[in-house]
Amino acid sequence: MSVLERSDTSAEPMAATPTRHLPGEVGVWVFILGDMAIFAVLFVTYLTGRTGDVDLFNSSQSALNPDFGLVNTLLLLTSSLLVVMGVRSVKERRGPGAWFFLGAIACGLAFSALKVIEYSDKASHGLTPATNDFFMYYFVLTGLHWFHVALGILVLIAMTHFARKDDLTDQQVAFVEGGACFWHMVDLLWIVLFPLLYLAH
Amino acid sequence: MVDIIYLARTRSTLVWAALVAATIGTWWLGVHSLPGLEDVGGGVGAFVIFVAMIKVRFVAIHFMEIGNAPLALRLIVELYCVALLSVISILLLVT
Repeated sequence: MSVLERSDTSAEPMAATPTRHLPGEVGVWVFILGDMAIFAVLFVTYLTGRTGDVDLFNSSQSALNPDFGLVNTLLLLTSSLLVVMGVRSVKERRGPGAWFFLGAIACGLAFSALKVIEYSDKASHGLTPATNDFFMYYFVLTGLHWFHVALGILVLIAMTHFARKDDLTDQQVAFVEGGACFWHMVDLLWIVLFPLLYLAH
Repeated sequence: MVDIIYLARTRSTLVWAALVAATIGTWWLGVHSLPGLEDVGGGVGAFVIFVAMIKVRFVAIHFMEIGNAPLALRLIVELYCVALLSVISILLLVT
């Protein structure tokens, strides 16, 4: 075993790109890229639907409040920075890693609270997925994204748990890295969704 | 506190500041119709999407550490950004 270990470590500097590193497990990336592909298809489906009735989509879009989208984007961007700092804290075993993840969870919860307010505001004006095609897309796209925010919050809770540990196994560090990338993907998808639904006309 | 300052002193913090600035800028552009820009039609929308895709790339490269990930993964993500930007821009501009 020790011979194997020695040969493994001595082989590392000879690798073509020794510093390149995949954050998290391969399986996480299959999931992340798959999700990104699904959302890309949904973005294109939305825009294709829009070409059918641009005036309806533009007038419906003006019923949305871009301020909600702006604040939600800023919340997710800030949560992403907190997650970056948390991962660095865990990997370098320095600073309060768990607190960064808790901060990111708080941002996710604030995002969710704003979504509740936004959806109820739309419902109170009689705007539902059945109103027209635009609102069907709006609720499906933002709802599916919100589901990912909820999943991400659960992942962040597990990351907080690991960050509290003194000693992490390589697998646990990989979970923290992969979970962080999942959360960044949630941020990344919203970065496209916000201008697509609220701003581009 | 010293640890927090240490952890914040990364390129990611600068990237975050740039992303926040770009977000506020494009929100402002999307909400306010600038005089003379009304005729551009889908042009403003396409510009806002262009900035969004640059933001996506920044999040992927710096936050998701794609910049330092195996080249195959980086290539997939770069192609994703270019392909999505192209298709979205075309669909916005043809209408």
